[in-house]
Amino acid sequence: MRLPLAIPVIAGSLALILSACGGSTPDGEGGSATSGTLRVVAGFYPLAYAAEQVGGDSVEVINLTPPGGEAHDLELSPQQVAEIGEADLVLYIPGFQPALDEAIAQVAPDRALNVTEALTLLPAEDHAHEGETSHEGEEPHADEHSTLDGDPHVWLNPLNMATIGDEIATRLTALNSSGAFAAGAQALTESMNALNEEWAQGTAECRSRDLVVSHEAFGYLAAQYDFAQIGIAGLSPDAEPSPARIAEVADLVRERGVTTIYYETLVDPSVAETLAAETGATTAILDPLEGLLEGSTGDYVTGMQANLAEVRAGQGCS
Amino acid sequence: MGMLGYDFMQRALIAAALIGLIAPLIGVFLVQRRLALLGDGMGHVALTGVGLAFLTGLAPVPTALVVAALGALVLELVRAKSRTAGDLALALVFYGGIAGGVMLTSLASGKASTALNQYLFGSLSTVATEDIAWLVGAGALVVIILLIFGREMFAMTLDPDVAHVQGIRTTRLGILLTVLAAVTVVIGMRTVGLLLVSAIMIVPVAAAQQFTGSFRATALVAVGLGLVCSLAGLTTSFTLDVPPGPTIVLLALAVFLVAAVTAYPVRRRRQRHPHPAEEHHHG
Repeated sequence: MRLPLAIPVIAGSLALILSACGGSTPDGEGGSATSGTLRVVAGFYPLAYAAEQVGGDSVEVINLTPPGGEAHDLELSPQQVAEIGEADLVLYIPGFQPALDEAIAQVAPDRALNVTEALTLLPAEDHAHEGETSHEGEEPHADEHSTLDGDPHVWLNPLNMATIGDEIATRLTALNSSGAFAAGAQALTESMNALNEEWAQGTAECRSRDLVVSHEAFGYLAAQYDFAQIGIAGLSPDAEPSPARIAEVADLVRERGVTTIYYETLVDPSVAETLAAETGATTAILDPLEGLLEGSTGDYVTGMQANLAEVRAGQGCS
Repeated sequence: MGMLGYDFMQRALIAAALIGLIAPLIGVFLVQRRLALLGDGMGHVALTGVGLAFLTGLAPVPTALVVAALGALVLELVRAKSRTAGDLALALVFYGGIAGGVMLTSLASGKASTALNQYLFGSLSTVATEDIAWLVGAGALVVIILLIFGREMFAMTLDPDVAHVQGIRTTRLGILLTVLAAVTVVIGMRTVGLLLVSAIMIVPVAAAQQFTGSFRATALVAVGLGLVCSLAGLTTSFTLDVPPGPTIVLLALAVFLVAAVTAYPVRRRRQRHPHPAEEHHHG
């Protein structure tokens, strides 16, 4: 395989061409290939976090989703499309952010990394077919630009984050072999293993293993730590929930003695509140970590630790 | 458990009934004035209000209410003063509202423009007790204003020039009506969703017009249809496990279709022989 060696050459020359075209680009002179710093554009926060951990000071990471923005609904400004065009590596999950998929197809088809390629995906289940979850995770399609054939919320399992880090390291090393990317990936893997251990121990003994969430973002987390995810709305946070579904979940909550209904930081809590008022349960925030809140000083690890605390309290873990 | 065993369904049924009663009352005037798309338009003007609230730190919903009311005022002034047709004036305000909302939101600390949605769009599935209070308030406002000004508003919508000659202050009355509609839309979209409130203002009126002659009869039949469609649609949505807003709107459209088809022969006869009893006197 000689192809990977060609990528830095193409990427470098493209960066030079593009920076030559855009005379107003502040760091246009020199270009990324010669300055030694690789430019990585990430679709949203967890991918940016992984790239920062792997790349350290040798990469400049740009996160396209603004703080407080909903990652699903990303809209790109012309400047951001230019940044994608100038990037050495673009990290994305196909189908998760349609605007980014389109931009990649237009300006960076050869420099994009579909971070789910090395992962085993869970099926994207329709909420109406709860209980038929026995089918095996399906392999992703080879076609990088098609929508993802499975649940996209892969980053909520720390071990997946470690795998994503390894993938990023492989690509970055191909771009610049002098970088210490393998060491960065190793450090990320260690911290993700520690986080996984913390979660596994923290959720080993719980009163309830039914995780009732406002939208089904927590499939990988639930699968990893032996919870059953019960989503009120489906995979997309915007869908209007049907009254019958709310009634069905309300019955389930009462029947199984669920005491906490989780909603997300960036999505309207009214569905969770309706269900909580219906059943006498309380609500709590579970952060899908698609983005950080404005002014947040935490990172992926502290976010997952905060989630662990919420789950331990809500599920009665000892 | 049956539908009524759930508190949230009881609230949804009350909210559906309220919106089914209030919205067509306003809608019958809007249809007469050729402003059938006002609901959607005002819903988007409210976006500017939320964008403004993001930028200034004001409370989103009251700001949206005020901005939508101001948008309604601008709409009426454009209509009255510049001799612009109603639908054109509406289009101007509508597009200005969307552009303003998206622009102001993007200026406000890099929020995604879709952050607007959660402040604006409710659903019958998630009606809260305070939402019902808002709807009752809007309904009371609509009924009181129509009781006081309904007759004059009817004269104005029928023929503004004649009404003006009769001494009715048509511009002020037009502003009052449009502002009332804007307030109803914003409260309705917040509680039951924009699609539902703007459609249930208009579709039952369109259906009622098919087989009623007078304004009063159209209004009464439209309110009846609005109520029946809302409640039947919500019940259907619960039974079939589908979202309530679209179910109610599609049901209302089906009623319109049936009304249009069955009333067609009647209307054709009327058109061929308009008011046969009067022909002797005038003809």
